[in-house]
Amino acid sequence: MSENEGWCTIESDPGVFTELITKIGVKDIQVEELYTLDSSEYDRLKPVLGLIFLFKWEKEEENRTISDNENIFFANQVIQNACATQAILSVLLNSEGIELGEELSNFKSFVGDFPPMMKGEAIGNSELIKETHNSFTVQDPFIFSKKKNRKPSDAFHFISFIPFQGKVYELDGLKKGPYCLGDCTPDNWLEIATPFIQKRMEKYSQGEIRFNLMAVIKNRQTTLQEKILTLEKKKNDLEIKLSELNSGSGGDNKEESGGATPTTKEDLNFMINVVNNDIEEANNEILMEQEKFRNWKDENIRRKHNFTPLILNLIKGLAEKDNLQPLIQKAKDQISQKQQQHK
Amino acid sequence: MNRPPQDVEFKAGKAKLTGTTVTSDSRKGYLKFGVTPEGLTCVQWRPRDSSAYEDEFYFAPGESKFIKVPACKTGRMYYLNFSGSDQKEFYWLQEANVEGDAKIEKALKVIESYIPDDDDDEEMVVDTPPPTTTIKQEPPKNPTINEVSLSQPKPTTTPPPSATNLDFIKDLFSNLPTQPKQPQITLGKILTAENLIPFLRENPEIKKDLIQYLPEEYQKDENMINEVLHSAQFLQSIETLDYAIHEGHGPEIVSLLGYEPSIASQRGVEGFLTNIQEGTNKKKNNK
Repeated sequence: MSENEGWCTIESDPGVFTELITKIGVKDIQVEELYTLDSSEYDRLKPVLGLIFLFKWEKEEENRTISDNENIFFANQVIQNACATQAILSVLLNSEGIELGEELSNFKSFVGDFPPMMKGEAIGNSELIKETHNSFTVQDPFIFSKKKNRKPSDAFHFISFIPFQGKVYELDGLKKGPYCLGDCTPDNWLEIATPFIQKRMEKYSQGEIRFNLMAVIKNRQTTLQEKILTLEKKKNDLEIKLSELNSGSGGDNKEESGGATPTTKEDLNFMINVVNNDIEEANNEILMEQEKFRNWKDENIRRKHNFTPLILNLIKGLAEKDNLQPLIQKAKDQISQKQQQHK
Repeated sequence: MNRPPQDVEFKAGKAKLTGTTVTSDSRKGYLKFGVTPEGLTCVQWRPRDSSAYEDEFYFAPGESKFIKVPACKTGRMYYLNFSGSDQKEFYWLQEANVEGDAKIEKALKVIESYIPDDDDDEEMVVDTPPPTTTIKQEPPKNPTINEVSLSQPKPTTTPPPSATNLDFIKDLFSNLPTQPKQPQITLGKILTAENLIPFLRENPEIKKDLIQYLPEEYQKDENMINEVLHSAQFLQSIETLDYAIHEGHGPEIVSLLGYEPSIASQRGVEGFLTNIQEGTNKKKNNK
């Protein structure tokens, strides 16, 4: 992996990534960490635009053939530290129906015909992407060098899994091109991708190698708001039917198509309750999402801040009020006490 | 971007070296090796009935060594070696299954040989540590082996090794001080929210003065500082400072604060703080 050319390392955290892509100009997208690969989790989070798998890179045998689909945006990974950001871009630049924002859209058209290596270099050279990425690095307040030994260490890297034009693809920036994993529909692509991810997870588990998985999804608050609108319309329809029944006008007891729509008062009331509960649940989820975004925002504020002056001035303050020594003694006592208790 | 190895925690007891004899503390405990967000190796010991760590040591990447003591009859005595000093901390394994010891050693080797990969003096922070001081448990997010925990259902542990004569170590210990080991103080133990929040409440003028050191977005609300004190990022910064002092940068930091560094600041965190107190007192007296 070549020089990092001014790209810093950043935390692999969904809050970091979500804010990063928003700052680049992408609208309405968030990143979530996945802890399980089951369909209930996918259902909860959909629509899922792509999955990003982070693991320890090993030189592995590659027997697969590269896909010849030239429409996929595939870039080689040129900058090690840009790994995560590039994985996310590979999902975003291949997604349909999302707003990339002006700058990323321009970037996409500009590099559209470049071969993979040049695309990777273009990403590395993009001031916008690099500076946004770097703004999330955790400050090292000291110039004291802690790194005396620099052993060649194992690299970590990301690969993305995306649905694209009816097939699932694996995008690995260290390979020559994308790999096609099979046919899919927009609704089942995750099920197709899952076994491939699982195989890797099992392989790395055996080697005691850590990894994690993230999903790039549509902003949940937006998805939930849309869901609520649909539910309210449904509720409205049900209430109209109910009032028609009550006033004896309109509707009758004839079953409608397949008996899907309730026709009795009891059934209607029951359905209205169900819909009300669903609306309430969705509203609660929106509140939780808002809370989560507030926490992410706070964490990002703190990440960018150098706390050393605060710490040193706290110590100064304690000293001025003669509180340092008592606290030192208290800490020592706590330790000794525990030792004494067992003698 | 080098992902740090798994934490390793196993049953172990402490032991003390006095002269050339190592005497075991019979208490049951846990010894934990882990890698901090800054890439430091952190070794902690706690008694089994407590979640608070009694001992805590930090090492630069690649500098911690957990070495077996060959002279010990039961073969399960180890010591934590501090490069650049004669300090040695002794521990004896208490895991019921002796055959698991090799696996522990192997997992520790991974941690010992881990060097974080970083460029441009920046560090990779992979996991944000939890904001509490309890044990760092990774959420059960993936099917990797989380910790090398070999606990057996049997409630008993192996008996402590009897006092072992370790004459052969005498040469290595020629400079070892004879006073008993002092409990390790770290800034992390002192600058806790528990200690600081009441202090700030009782000293509003100090609290007010500290606002300027908070992130800009927090400066409007004077109570944001309480939230900061609990935060993972704040705790990480304290850890970095602890490490810097441990590495001997105490005097430099003291002068940064405008005080005269004394020998005290070279003696770990306690010395560092003593130096600050001395500096503060001097300033007060000069007023």
